[in-house]
Amino acid sequence: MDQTQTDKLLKSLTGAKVLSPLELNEMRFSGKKTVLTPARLRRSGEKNR
Amino acid sequence: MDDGSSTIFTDFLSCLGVRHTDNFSNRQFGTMPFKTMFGLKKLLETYGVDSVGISLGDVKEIDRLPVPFIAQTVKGFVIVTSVSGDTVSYLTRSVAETAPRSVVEPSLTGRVLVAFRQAGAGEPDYDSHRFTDVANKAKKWVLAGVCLLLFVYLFVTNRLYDHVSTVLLALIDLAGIYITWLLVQKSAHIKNRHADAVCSVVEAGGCDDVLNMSAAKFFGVFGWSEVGFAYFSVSLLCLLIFPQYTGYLALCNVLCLPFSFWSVWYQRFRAKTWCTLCLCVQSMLWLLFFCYLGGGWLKEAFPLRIEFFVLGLTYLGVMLGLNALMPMLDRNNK
Repeated sequence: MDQTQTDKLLKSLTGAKVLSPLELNEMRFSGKKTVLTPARLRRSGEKNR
Repeated sequence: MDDGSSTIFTDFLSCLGVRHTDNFSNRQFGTMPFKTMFGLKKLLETYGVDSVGISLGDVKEIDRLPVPFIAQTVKGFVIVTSVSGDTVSYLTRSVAETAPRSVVEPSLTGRVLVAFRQAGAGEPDYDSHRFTDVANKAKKWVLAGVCLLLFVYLFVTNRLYDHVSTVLLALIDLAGIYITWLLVQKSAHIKNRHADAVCSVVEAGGCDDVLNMSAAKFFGVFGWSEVGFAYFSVSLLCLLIFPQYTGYLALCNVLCLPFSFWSVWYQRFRAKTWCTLCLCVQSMLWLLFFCYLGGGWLKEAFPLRIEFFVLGLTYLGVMLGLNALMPMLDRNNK
């Protein structure tokens, strides 16, 4: 993805920003093998509010 | 995939239409130094896929992102494959799900990874990995084919088809090998849906309960599943290669019968649960007995010659060999 494509994408989004390598590194993959069903997402969404 | 599991990496590559082999790609994903989105971004680069991590100011704007993209939720990651109208389609652990946007959006953290494939994107050395994958899959079929050919050759050249009892003996031994192999897999904690399906016929979970008891081991050393597998496989081989010793097989079968009474008694009164696979094995022992009896093989067991003891040693040798291999098969030891 080149800079022009990224800039174009970011311009179409309100308040979006590119994540730094450090921020990407904070997004860890857990070893859990849970299937995120809609019901699970609903519950997690309710807690997230 | 060979190991029966997929990763978010291979799911994402599939969604992007990047050619890859599951085996190699999952290994790359499993061994990447950073088990994070940064590590995945770097890994994607080696496949010719550019990506950028974006923090959205408003999660409602996911419909403006090019699909597929990886989205972080509070419970983990999903691959969003389409956002249309009021619904979001996504992939989670290779399972395709669709949910209303009102359900998905509140669970999002706003962090996503958007990717674009370059021209000629693909797994490095794809052709060689693909060849290895195909060859590995072919090995199983070649093995099955070789076993079938040998079985047919021995069955015909030794004229086992001449007598209905020997035909039935061969079939029951084959079924016994299959059932005891399922039991061996259960003992080795290898998941097998066929074994689970058979086990749940009489009592769900009964097989696991019985196999985890101390009584599931002969002298506390050999698993009964190993003993059973050794018994049926050696019996079939002896019947196919040395049909003249069928009388000795009949005698060995009679010696095994008391075990079936003990096993049923144990399941009924001690374990208080039924193991369907174990009951199948005991039924097969009795079916074999009736075949040996009906075929008049029992009277051919006497007088005993050295071959009877060689047969006994063969049972023991295969049982010991399998017992030595079991720790390597056991998933709980890995």
